[in-house]
Amino acid sequence: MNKEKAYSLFFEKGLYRIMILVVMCVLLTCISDSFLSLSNIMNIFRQASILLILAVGATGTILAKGIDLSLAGVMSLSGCVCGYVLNAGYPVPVAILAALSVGIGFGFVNGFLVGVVKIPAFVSTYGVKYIANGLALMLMGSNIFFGFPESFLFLGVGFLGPVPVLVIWALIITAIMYVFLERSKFGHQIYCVGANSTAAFYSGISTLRTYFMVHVISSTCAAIAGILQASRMNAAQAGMGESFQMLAVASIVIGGTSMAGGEGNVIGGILGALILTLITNGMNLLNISSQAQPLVTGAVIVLAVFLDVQMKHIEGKKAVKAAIA
Amino acid sequence: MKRGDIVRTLKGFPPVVWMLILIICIFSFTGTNFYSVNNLLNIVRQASPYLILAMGETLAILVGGIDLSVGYVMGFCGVAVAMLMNMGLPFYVAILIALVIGAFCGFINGLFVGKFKLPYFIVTYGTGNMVYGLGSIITGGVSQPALDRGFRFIADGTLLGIPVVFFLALIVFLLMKLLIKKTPFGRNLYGLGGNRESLFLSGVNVVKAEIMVFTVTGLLAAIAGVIFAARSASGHPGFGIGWEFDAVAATIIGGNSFSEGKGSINKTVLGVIFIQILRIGLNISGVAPQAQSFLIGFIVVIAISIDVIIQRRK
Repeated sequence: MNKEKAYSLFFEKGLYRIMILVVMCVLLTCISDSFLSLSNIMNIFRQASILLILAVGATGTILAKGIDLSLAGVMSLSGCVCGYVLNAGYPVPVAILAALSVGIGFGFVNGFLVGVVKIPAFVSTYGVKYIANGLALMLMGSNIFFGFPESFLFLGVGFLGPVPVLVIWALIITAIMYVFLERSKFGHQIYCVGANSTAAFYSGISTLRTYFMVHVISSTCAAIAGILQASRMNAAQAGMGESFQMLAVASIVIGGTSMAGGEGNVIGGILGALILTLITNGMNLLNISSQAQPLVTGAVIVLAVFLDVQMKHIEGKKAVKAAIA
Repeated sequence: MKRGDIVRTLKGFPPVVWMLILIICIFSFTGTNFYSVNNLLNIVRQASPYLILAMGETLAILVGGIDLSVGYVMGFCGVAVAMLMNMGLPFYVAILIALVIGAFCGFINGLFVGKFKLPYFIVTYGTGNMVYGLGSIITGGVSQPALDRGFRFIADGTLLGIPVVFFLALIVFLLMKLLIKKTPFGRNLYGLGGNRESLFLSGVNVVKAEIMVFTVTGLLAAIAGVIFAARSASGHPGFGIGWEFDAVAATIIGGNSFSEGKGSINKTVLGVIFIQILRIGLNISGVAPQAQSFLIGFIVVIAISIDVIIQRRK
């Protein structure tokens, strides 16, 4: 492999993100004895799973030059609906279906507001977040529902052999999203709409369908995350998804998906979710107080975006030099 | 004035005016004492810091960006002013330092988005979190009391029966108008949002101009934070969380556009009044708190939809 190729792989394909992850792991291994234990590694993967499901689901909305700020709200509402239906004595599949239909319904609402009414995505989805959170509050009050059936708990805390079921869910959904976004016709259309929606429209892509699609996918993944979170915690309450909102968006952006739309990938989201989870895990292991955590998380987000933009800048300069030569 | 003129004038009103009239009509039936002086003063008291924050957000939106850190900066400046006063500084010095801190946060944001060209949304979220974390560390997550008499006067005091905060908001509003209308700042502001290229080609230092805009946004967030700290007689780093989105919502409901460098802070005033009246109206109409969150989200989404659709028709 020559120098050029290595350079391209390292910067353009975003290999340096993997390096950041490896460096973090090595550092944490050196500092903390318990980091490399099997139970901690499994813990990290389990913590990252739900974040990953949210992140890969919402990647499409950011690729289409939008954003989904309602996913925490939808996640909470779906978890609550799931818990409510289970508590009312219905079987597990009914509860899951109810929660999923909440997700799909909110996806259509978001798609309608962004695609038909054409409100900027992060204003409309933020309003929708209030609606979803409000509905969850009206449904639950300040109650916490818990004590779900064993078969439901298996979804979130069970093991298949040595592997947590939660991780399997995350991998399945990531694989589906990878095929959908990067290997299918619809996925390419999402990239086109994000890069230039007018051009995409005139070349025959239904931008409306694209907006509906990305938002339905995002909300459905949020609903799945809500169900799994309810199962993992064995509890459902209003506001249970709140802390995931910006972490999910940050995972996507740290993974190299551009907020300007049309550029990015699903695999980067995995790295983003793992990096953010590692930060939290590492700070817990090092007994850094929870008060310092926003500072570190914020700094990492800024640093990651900074690096990303600088790398692209260097690349651009190289390309110009190559063109002149 | 002919009939056609009247119709044309009425049609010229931004949609938010009609929606405002509508909700006032509804609340005057459902709410007890909606028109009482107390209630009006209440609206003014709550709306003032919110308006100052929202004007700052409007600046960031007019240049085609967004600032998600304003809520956190607001909380942090409240903490700063409270802690500085507890250290024994007179309240005006504490306020001055807090304002400088806010402006500095804005400057850093401006540096990131203007000089290094980082995406607005995620960077300001990141810096906001950093500020919040910093605030949490220095306070230990505990509320800092701010009981200084002179300081509390900002929030509780009245001049001629009208709350002081109202005059503060008015002064800030007029100063902002002056800044936008009479100085290069305003021209650059609209140029940045409208056509950056031509602004650059006409010899304006675009980076500096954008840094200026974000610095003012940070400064306004600090003013809002100081007022809020005075109102609640304490400072806490988490006080402003969520306000940034209310500020964005007010800006958009008022009819400002995200993409074209069009809009003004007058529209933001209308948006702020709309959201404040909505909140207080729901409260005094006896709507359960659980349902309020839902209703506010629902009405805000509908209001923005109506606004966007009508603007597009024009």
